[in-house]
Amino acid sequence: MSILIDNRTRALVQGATGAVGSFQCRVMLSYGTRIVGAVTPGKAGEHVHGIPVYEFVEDAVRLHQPNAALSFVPARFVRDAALEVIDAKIPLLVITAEGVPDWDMAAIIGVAGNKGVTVLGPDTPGLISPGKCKLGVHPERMFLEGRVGVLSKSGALSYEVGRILTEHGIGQSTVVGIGGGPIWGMRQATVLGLFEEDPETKAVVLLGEIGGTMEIEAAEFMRDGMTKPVIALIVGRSAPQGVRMGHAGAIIEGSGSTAEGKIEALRGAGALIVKRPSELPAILTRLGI
Amino acid sequence: MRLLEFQAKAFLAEQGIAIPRGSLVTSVDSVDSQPFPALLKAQVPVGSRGKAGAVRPARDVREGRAAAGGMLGSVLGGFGVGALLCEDAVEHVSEMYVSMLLDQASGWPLLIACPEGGMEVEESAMRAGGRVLRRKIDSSVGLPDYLVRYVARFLGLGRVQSLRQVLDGMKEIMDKCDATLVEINPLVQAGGGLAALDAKIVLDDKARFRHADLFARLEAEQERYLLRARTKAEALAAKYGITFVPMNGELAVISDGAGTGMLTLDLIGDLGLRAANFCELGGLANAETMTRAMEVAFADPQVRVLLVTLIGGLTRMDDMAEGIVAYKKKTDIPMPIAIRMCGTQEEEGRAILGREGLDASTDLGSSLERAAALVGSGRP
Repeated sequence: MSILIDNRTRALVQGATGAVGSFQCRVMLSYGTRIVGAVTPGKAGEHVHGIPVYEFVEDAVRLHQPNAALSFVPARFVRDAALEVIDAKIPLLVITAEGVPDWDMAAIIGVAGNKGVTVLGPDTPGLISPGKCKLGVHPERMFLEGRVGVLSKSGALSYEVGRILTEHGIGQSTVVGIGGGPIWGMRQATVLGLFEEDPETKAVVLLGEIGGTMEIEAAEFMRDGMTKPVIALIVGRSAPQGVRMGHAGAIIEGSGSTAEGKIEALRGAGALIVKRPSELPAILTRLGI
Repeated sequence: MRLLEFQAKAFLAEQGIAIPRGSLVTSVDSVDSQPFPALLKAQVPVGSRGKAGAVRPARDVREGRAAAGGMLGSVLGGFGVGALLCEDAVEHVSEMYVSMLLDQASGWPLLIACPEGGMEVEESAMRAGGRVLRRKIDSSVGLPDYLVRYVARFLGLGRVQSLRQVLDGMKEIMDKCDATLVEINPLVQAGGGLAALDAKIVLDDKARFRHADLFARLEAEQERYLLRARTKAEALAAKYGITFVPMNGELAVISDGAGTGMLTLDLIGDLGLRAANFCELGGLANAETMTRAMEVAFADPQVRVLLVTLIGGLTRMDDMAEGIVAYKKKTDIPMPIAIRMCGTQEEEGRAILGREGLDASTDLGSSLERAAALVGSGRP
């Protein structure tokens, strides 16, 4: 088991004909990800590493029944591409682009909610269930199949943690990049809930950072929703006060966007707190993982 | 982009929302032609200007010249004041707060109102019993009548119609210009209607491609009226489009991810070291990005040691190594450098560095220790 993707995943890729999309498709195919189709308007009939390219998502859905979509579409076209996937009711959509306008994300999340589509991202490396499926750009050799669930806002930080766990022989069930925000599709609390229900996952590593209040929300979820151990690393403890909260933002959020506020909330909800990734292997070993 | 007050007010006026009569002054002498009494307000994108002495009343030209002389050229929140908004002082009794924003937690637009606006609105909102109204705006229905009437009652307003015009105008700005915040504080009753005495608007930089001309015009205005006190390093970073955060230590940090960059800064602090600055390359950096980041980091005169921490996913380590070597070949590296390099193409990257006599560790901890030793050995 794993969450969100596994060896039954049938992926559709948007933007597979571009340089990054094409390269990453080849890497995913060699990892064993089943990519059943690609969509690029104007390029129907072409093939990318043997993957047939279609004009519309509907065309690919009719012929190949994908159950996940991965978007390498540039930020300015993300809204339209995402709405097409959501309209076709593909249950999972991963948006990798950085720089998607906030109102576009708001529209995507709103429509996805109505159609029961899960959106991961934007600004995410995607996700990997090591040994089973990789939907995104995680450097695969830093990851190993196993029982620790990892969720992260930062791509590079999840590579850092994956690498250290893997070097110590501690494998991962799924490593989920929720993305850098500032508006998120899937949120930490939702991913925690999925790991809680996944029989293979025995413990969860949550990688968070300053800004916003999502970690506070995750801590609230943990209080009655989480029985598995959660180890949290929040970065940005030493960040200067440059990222000042807006006036209206402060009214809504109150405190809680600082590293200290988040660490306190997570600790209060039962999370183990670490300051550096190198502390993780010993703790996970002690937990019997 | 956070707009300056006069820019934000022009947006409101375009929507038919009343604002005080006023004009921009950029020199003490140009105050002479202004009507008095007036309010002189420094045009800088920072909050709490009133408390910082950047909003001053003047009864006549003499007081106006004194106020302008005190404010023009002064520095507030890192910005030099290059222009003042000289406005009619509008008589009013109570001050209200109203804003619309895109709430990042929910992804929903929100309407927020508070009958006690002005400078203390945050304190008032935090206080137990502080009265703040927050309502989701459903994009598919907009602002229904009942909601406007409800907000009017909450604010203690009899005139629903003038509030409707204010709220419709704010929503129009959000919808048409990719604004993520439109705030009027204070909103006051004056001259038989409502008037916006101060305003804050934030446009989403990520939506620039939809409003290229508008962004260019607003930025040109800010260039003209904001005297940016930029350091050489900040100016270079802006030119290259590299994220740059200045700090007060001696160790410069370059990373290829925000998360690992923040982690590195935290661990530097834990070791008792102080970062001088931080450059983030972003996820799709090439060799040139790396070379430029080094230029930026070394432009900061307080830097004694450079720490480069790279963990490549999309970023290729051979590219990063080429970038470091290119810098070295061009100008030589002026101070000790510690490099952490792992991820995509790391063997190739280390080989490229090795040929130039540079070594890199794969592990973050050991590169931090090396940086600490380099900082230590450089101290008198």
